[in-house]
Amino acid sequence: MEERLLTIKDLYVEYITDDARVFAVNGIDLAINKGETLGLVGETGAGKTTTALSIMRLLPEKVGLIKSGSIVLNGKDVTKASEADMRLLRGETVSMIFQDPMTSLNPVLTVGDQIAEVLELHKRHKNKADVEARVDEILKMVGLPPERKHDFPHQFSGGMKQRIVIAIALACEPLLLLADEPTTALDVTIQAQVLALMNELKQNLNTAMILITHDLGVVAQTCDRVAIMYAGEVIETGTVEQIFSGDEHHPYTVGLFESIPDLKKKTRRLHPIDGLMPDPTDLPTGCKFHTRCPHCMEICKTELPKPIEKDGHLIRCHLLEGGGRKAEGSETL
Amino acid sequence: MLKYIGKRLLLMIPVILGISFILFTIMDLTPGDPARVILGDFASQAEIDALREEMGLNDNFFVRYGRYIGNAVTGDLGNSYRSSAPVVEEIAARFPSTLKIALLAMLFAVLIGIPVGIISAVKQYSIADISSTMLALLFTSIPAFWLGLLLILLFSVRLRLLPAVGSDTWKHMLMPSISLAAAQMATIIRMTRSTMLEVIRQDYIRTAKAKGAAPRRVIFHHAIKNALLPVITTVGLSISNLLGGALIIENVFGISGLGTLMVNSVKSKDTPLLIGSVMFAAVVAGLVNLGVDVLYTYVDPRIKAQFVKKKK
Repeated sequence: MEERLLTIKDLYVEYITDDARVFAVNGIDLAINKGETLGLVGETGAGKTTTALSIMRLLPEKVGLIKSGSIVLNGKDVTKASEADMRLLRGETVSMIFQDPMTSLNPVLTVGDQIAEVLELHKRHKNKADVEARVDEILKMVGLPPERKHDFPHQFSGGMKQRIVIAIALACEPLLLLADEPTTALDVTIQAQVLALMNELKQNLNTAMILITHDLGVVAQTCDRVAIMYAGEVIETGTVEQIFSGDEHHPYTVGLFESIPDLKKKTRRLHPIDGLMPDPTDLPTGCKFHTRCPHCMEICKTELPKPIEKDGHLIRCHLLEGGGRKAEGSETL
Repeated sequence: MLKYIGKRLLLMIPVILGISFILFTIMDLTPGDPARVILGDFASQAEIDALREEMGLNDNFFVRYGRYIGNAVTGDLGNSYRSSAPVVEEIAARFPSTLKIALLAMLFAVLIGIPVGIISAVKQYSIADISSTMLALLFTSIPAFWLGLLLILLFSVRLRLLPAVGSDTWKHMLMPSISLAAAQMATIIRMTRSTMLEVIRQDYIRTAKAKGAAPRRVIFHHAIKNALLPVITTVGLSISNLLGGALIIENVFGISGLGTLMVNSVKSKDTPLLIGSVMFAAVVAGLVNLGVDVLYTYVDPRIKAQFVKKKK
């Protein structure tokens, strides 16, 4: 039986600023087992990064607030943990790779120091020599020559910087890696290299990963399961096979796949989903997608659909109610 | 690196030439005859004419300027018209007092300005932040001479703690340097606060937090070095403000420094003394700014990379 690593239940996150309340995450449920890769897919502003930052408890201070819900990581509820406990978890149990490697590294410290820091913070090694040896080892692991540890970030290319960021994230062999669009800022050939590297390391270290992306191709290549987010809600989750080839889908998922250009078909234009994501400060009632949904019914405008599950494939849509599937509570994932 | 410093020193030459030329021209255009200044009101026209001839004052403007620069290169800045002592000696006698005040003021401004700025940024919108912002606003708005007068009123007249005039002991230095420091301190507070605020929102700060670093470590290990770069520039630029400010402050506190020397030389149309002391101040400001630029390379490896070829 696979072991559960992370369980997010009914998580609500808001950003409160002077002029608005932004409903960033609205009651999501997610679960991930040890060693598993979950793809978190959605448009910009769907709440993917906010979800990841909530797990790290690194939401912008005084602005981003976890309103309710629980995030149980390795048996510990991080929403209730003290700041000191969180510091022990960060970098050790859970670490994060950020979107832009160009700005993720401190320009005035050598990369070796930046890798060594996470080891020192978590007291992984008794003396300086052991730390240095481990730094060399990690650099080799991500495919960089160890003698470059004395160099500063500006002396590396984007792809190399992301390798260093990955090295920092994996230095303590965390149980969970949160990768927030790790390849978006890189060019395509480097993207493939970095993804391959992450996959390989993940496998070797048996690290679970939440891969945040809007690239469905990346998801197909790397993930075991997929969760599709829209306006702060998970509207469909399932295994990669269920999402990519299952016959029942949330209309938003259908739209996402239709907007990918098909090489075999001759079309003059792309097929985007009509309309824009709803304003997160003023979300519509009922199903959040009803304003853009081609199959919108009366009930969609007023009532939030319950998740409907079949073999672990979960869809939140009124269209499927009364069909072959039975509605269930949010307990099952 | 040495090559860079050499280049910068060479660049100072045209600057100093420019300053001397402008000053020389202005002094030449203003009314007043140096020969009369030297000989006094009771000298006869014949005596004055003789002296003019002797000093070469009847020569063409460019000939006189060329002669002055020629002498200056050998370290001879001429003699003061008033005291007839060499200008170099006059400056050497006066500069230490000014330097002491300016350095002490700089020390106050930096040692108070930077920590206050950092606290202000880290605890944004807190009481500490609001009061430091108000303090900074107050200090930039108060003219240095007025602050000096108020300090004299309080510490010398009322409390009788500090001497009001002179420059003999460190006690004499205290009030002038504080009045001089106030405005610079305010600038440094504002500068540190704004760059620090910018830095603590950077991605690499988030990376540091994601490693599990404590807030104190994030600030001192990751943020400060990045935030100080623009502050160092400000400090470097403030040296010219301090030298300029000393001009007024020295008069308020009756200190015989470079500032009073300049003011008096203007009053008495003592051309060699004025040009000499202004050029000297310009050289000091230039050197300090060069020092600041060199300091940069120790803080930011990216700047260092521009000057230093990679070892190995």
